[in-house]
Amino acid sequence: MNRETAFAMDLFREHYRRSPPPAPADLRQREFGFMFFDRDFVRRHMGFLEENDLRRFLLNQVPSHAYFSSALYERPSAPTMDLKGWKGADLIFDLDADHIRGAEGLSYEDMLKLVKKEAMALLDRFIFGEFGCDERLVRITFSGGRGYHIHVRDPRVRRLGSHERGEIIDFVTGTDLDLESVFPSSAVMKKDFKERVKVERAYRIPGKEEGGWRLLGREALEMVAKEAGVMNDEGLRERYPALQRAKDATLADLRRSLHGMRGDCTGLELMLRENSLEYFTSDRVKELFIQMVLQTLKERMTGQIDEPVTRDVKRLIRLPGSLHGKTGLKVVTLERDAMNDFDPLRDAVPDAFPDRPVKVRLKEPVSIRVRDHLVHGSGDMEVPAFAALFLVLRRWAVLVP
Amino acid sequence: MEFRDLALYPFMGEATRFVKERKLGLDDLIGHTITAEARRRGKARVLTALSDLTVPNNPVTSEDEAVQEILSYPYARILVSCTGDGVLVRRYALAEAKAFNERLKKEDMPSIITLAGELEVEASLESSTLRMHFTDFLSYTSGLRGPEWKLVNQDLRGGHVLLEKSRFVRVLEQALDERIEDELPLPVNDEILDAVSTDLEEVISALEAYKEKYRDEGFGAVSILKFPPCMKKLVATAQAGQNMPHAGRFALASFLSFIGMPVDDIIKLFCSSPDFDQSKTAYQVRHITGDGYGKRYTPPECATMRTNGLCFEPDELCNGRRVNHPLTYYRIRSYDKSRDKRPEKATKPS
Repeated sequence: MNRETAFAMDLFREHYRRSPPPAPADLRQREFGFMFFDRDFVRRHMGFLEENDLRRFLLNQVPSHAYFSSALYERPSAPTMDLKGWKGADLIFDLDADHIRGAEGLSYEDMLKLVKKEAMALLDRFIFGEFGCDERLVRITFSGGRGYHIHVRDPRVRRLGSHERGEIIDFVTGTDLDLESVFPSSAVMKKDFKERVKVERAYRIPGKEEGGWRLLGREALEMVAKEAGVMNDEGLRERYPALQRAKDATLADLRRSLHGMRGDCTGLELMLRENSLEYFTSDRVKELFIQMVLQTLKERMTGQIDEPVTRDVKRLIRLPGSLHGKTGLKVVTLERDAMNDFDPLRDAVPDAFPDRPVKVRLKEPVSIRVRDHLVHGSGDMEVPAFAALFLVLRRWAVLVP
Repeated sequence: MEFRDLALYPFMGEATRFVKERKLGLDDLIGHTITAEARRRGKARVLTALSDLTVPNNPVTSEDEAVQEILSYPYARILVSCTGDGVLVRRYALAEAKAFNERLKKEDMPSIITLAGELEVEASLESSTLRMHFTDFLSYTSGLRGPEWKLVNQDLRGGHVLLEKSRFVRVLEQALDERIEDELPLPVNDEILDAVSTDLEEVISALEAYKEKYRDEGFGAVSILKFPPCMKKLVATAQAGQNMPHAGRFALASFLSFIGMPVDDIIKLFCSSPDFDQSKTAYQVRHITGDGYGKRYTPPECATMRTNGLCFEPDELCNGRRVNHPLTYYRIRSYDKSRDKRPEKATKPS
């Protein structure tokens, strides 16, 4: 066992002694799985009868990663899935930097901030919003690594199969969303300037009280209208591919339709009041505007989740209260209200980790704040043990003998 | 609920209690003269399910008549159970569910909500629109494909999906269908088999006649071995008499027609389907295949199959770069086979 491994195991053991993870709900029906610092395999199909058994295992074995099943089983420790007897599974949403647009290339801290923002949007818009989940049945955790996990343990949700969970994913990601579902249309007869009758589609704007993607469509529409008002032509064309070939005059038309005065209010206010998109100066401008709204819906309103995790009805997921073997950070359970102020590198560093000085050798220059200590510089330096462990596990540094 | 309503919805707990109050048990139902009318109606329930995919609408004018009508339901279930036949179970369940749908449509909102509760569907009203919990919606629409049933296209608010009455009722139909399919067959013993033997014989001979009429005669010149996994699965589904989404029927019928299967054989393939209706199926298949004259539909390509949730367990050939259409798969397999044996003979898609 090398020096770094021994160091990590010492600190992990100290954490598991001082603050053992609470048993998850329905402990006896959950499967557990572990990975270790000093062994090269995953130990699965474990079950625990009492909180104390779990605690003893963690203390004795000091795993590098600890997982429990989203599923509930008749016999969680049976060796095969068939024998386990599936009884249902929590619905899991995994938000990970790998699946979030714009997370690449960010620093660890900024990446965590971005993922947190996505997680909060997912909770507010979908989980507590459209899906109406009861806060008492939703557990939010920082994963200890690069993201957040959300566990929903409503019994009504637990019985859903993979296909049904796929429908939830499609809802969150806006997959197969019909234009009709956002802006319902009806066929209308119109006369053109030569008095010829044409059949056209008239689009309705969903009312404020409507739900699902209709409400999001209304919100996206207001966002786009606002942007069209403040951005210049170039900016708009860059932001919206649909506008790339639009002439300056068309863009001026678009702005006039939205922000020009129509009697006592602007065009946008009129549309929102009448719940109708039929106040544009031309169909061409209307179609472009719809394209812009759809693009905004896809880009800004969809949830960015790791889809296979949500679809899976027997996933192993990090145990809240355990430590992440690649960061040494704790899987912290959070209330929604506490998320705003939550800072993983301050709040997920285990209290049990000591601050005695430890000598490390940085592989590359580093500047990062861990708990209250700013690690800044390169080469050899002395840092508190809690910071040293983070650097070592991230493989940014080795211990100096 | 009034006794007339209980007679319409005999699966309700309240209907069971209504009968129990009259001290009628299983022995009375299968043997006593007092329930002869219930047995007659029960047998008619099964036979009508087989022939017309519905159950009879008997007028109920008195409480006694209501008792007979309610009891006809458990008796029908006993008869179906005694046959132990999967095709009959599915067709009977679907017939009850479809009749239920027709009856529900005429009910007011509060009654619909009560009946939904009976099926353990969490339902309520939101400013005079029916709504159900999204988990119930998901559970019972998983067999209904098509964009209009996708959750993403629903008006979902605070955990509830708002639905027009006809669509709400359609989901409940599915819930009753699944419940009856799950419950049947009930366990039966020799005593029951003996007691119902005369009625049972009649049901069995009707069932055999039903199956005989539309017996599958195989694929003839068309080789199922060359089918892509999606089409094999659809064929198996059709042969097992499991219900198939409309898109699946379309895909299968157009595919079979394209590779040269005669229209009559295609129609027969669908005969085990629980909602099989000879004339309707014939009409639809003829429409899809053009029947030698009209527009002939090409089977959907792989992307469409996937969108419709019909792409099952794609194999190596599917995942290879060459195949983006079920017909391409069939053509490649036919070519492979013919190289092994004798010159190409299978009908090729143009």
